[in-house]
Amino acid sequence: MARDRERDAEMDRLLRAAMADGPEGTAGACPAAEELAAYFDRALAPREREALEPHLASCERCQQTLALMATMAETPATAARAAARTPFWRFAGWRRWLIPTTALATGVILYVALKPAAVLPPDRSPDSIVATTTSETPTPLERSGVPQQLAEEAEPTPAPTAEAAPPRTKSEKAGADEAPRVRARARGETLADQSQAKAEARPFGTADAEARQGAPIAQVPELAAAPVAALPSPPSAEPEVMAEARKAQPGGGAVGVRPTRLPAAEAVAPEGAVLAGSRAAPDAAAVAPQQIRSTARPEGTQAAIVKGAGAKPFFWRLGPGARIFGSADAGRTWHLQYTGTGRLVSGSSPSPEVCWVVGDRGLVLRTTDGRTWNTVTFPEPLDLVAVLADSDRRATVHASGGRRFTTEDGGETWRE
Amino acid sequence: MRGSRAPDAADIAPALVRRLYDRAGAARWGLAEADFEASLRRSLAHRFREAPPSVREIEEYLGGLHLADLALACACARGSEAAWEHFVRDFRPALLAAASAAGPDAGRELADSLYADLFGTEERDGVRRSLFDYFHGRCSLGRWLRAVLAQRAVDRVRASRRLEPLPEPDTPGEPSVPAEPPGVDRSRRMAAVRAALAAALQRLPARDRLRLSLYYARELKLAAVGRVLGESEATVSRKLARCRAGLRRDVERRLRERHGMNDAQVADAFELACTDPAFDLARALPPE
Repeated sequence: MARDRERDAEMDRLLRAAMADGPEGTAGACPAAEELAAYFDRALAPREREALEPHLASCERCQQTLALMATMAETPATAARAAARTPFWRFAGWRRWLIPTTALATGVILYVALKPAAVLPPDRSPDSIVATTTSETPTPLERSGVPQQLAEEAEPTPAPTAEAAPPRTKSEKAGADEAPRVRARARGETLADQSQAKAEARPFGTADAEARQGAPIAQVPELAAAPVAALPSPPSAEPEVMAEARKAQPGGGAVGVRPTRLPAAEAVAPEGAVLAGSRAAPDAAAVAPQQIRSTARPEGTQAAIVKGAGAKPFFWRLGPGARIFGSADAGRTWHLQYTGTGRLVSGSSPSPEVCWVVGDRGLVLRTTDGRTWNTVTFPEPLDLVAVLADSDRRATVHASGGRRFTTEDGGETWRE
Repeated sequence: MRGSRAPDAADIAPALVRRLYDRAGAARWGLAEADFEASLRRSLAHRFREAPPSVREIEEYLGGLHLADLALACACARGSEAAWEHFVRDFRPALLAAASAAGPDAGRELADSLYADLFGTEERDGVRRSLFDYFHGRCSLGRWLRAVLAQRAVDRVRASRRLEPLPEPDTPGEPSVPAEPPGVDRSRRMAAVRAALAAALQRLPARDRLRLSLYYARELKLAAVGRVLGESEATVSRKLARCRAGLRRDVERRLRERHGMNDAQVADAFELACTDPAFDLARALPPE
């Protein structure tokens, strides 16, 4: 075995040396951009693909083009469209049944493995630059006193006490920072809804009617390849929060997660119930930022994803109601960082902790620590469609009419 | 049964056109059904330029297109304001973000020039020509935009590379001859490994060669290679390992059979090839 590994390593070194420059030049007539794009999208027929690959394997220009396409950012819109291209029922023969059968089997396995679901402790990943404490720099949500914790879905049976909770999760087993897997249903009124409703009732930020009916948060498949991890809660708060949340449900239904649905204010749980967990330790390290589970295929309004710079990039997601979510684990879990009014459409991140985001009516936001967002004054209420930032001081925004504005001093002044 | 003539209006049933038009939501851009049908026929002609399709193939092909994107592109090419507004809102930010992969300034410039070409600043025979006319709906519009952008970025770099001056011979510090001429035996073994590896690579299926090139020559990460080939990271890693093992076996067999090397000499030849900085296969593999 060790000898095989040695031989493989030797071959790897040999190939690196031998193929350092790859093929040179072009191998005959290169395919058009659409053919390359269709190859990338898996939209070519098998015979077309087989006919194209010999050229691609020998053509420097095409390989460089494909390589560049592979590194280009992707939005949820394109990812969802690419994923939706071949409905499974169009597969031939036995493959037609592969996906529904696999989905059913996966559901059964998850149900058996994760029953009962638990509310888990906060994500303490050292890689996350989203604050998990409120003692340092409070986010706008924390300042408003909005409960920061979401409960995960529980079975309609009494929740286990913190002491009795079985060590089912990966993080508990590994004792590491890896967040555990849980199942969450997207039905019914949830703690998330109630928390959101509380947020809406408070002075900070008001969601518009569209946001109340907002679509599920778009998921970028390549960013959320693994099942989404749950947000754990402080062990001491777990049973109380879950039990009270279930009491708050009409008919005592299960608590689910439906991140973007904002119920009416009268649906808010009693003060002493839902908020007990987070209010018990408002400034403790155990109060975690609000985490939202990415839902499946996006519908309705699409959200933009901004990828941060650096080797382990941070991701931001722009949602309805001028909301910004952050993820330090490539989209597995998301933390609500900002909520406001208006619509955000585009962002740019020149360095790991700096991100600029723009939207309608001159809306410009910026973070310089990756988590706290500040409004940047923009001279005109134009609909801004794009931003390209070079640093926390220098950025260029594009307005829908084609006008372009640049700032070199962090937004204090703009020139067209 | 295959059709014996190129697809024309008689082969594209009006009911099919109407169904596709509705599915594409083309009416919201104010796109005429006739214009949409024309773009469908162009797409068909582009796909089946070598062999005319059957009616069933036409239906399957048209039904598999990115119809909404095709309608949007068609409407933009015809100057629909509503379509342009939608395109700017939904695609331009992503286009700018994608362009940044080509470099902050170069990318922006490329994106701007692409945007101008999409808008159609050129006229031919009195008709405004837009780059959208080259989109036929086989892929998503976003992906197509990225492909166009990537091709332009690559062509720009390749063009600038052709203008770079050749290195000066006998530059101080860069001797034109090696300080220590290689021994005959060493040279022979190097040449043997080079030839054996070149032959082994040529025997690989094109897809495996492409995977190796993307990983070793383009230095893409496993995940990026997987994105290009539609494979998971684990699959790419497994297939690369299998390729390496197969290449090794093939090269060793050739060294033994054709060059008469024993096991020790084969091992020595590999070691030489791994450590020699002059070992470069690129020039040994002619393009197809």
